[in-house]
Amino acid sequence: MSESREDQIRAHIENDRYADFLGATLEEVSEGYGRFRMEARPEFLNFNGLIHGGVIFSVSDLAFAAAGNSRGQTAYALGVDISFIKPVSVGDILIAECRELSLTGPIGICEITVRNETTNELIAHSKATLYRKKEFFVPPA
Amino acid sequence: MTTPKQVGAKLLEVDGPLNRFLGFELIDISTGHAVVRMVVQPHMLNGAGVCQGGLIFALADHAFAYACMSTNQAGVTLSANIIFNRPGQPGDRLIATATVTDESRRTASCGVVVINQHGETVAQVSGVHYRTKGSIVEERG
Repeated sequence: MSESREDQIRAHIENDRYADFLGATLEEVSEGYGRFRMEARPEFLNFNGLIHGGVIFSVSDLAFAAAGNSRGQTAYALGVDISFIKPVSVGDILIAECRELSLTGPIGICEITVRNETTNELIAHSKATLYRKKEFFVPPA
Repeated sequence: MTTPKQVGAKLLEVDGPLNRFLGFELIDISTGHAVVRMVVQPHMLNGAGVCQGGLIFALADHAFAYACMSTNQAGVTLSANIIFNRPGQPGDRLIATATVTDESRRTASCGVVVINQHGETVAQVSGVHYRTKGSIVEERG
């Protein structure tokens, strides 16, 4: 009995060494949707005593990749426009969510939010564009 | 008058743990300009076997922040737009060069180009930086 298509897609998305390095974990993936969770660790602090924006972008990018790859096809990020709204402190839990707004041919437009679960604040917001390749890494059902 | 080199030395001192964690190395800093380098290591790879885009953004954002703060004014990134031109391959030496293109009392706009060791463009970032109160190196007198 082989694992389901959904399980294979999930396993593919979880196979990300940079996510492991950051301690970010995949919470959910479904068609056009992805969610990652990450704790803000002391290693992420910059000179301001705040979590580095690049790390906040990174967790949002993981959610983006999850949503982009959610149909079993490899997607690449073409571009992302991010706004940083609130700072993050060590120990805070970040939830990054990506929703696909449109999928026209190979081009997908997504909205990504990063929320601070600890303070219940919106931390960052992005509009992102992806390109989906024809090939499937998990064959279509 | 604090020089950009003095600001750079202070940033390196405070950001030491973050730079070691992310693998960033400050190559040059001068007024409105900063160059940061990173070698793509195995733990930085995503499931596609290339450098995770979030880390490329982090590298660019780092150079961005240092260029904007080179005049000894602290600040944060308000928004940034990244275009991913080509992947960062394992072992690539990525160099982010940031240049402040315009500034006012409270904001600065800055552009960053990330290239690999072949001189090929890996990513381009443009964004807006907001100057918070305070300085990097304490001014005397």
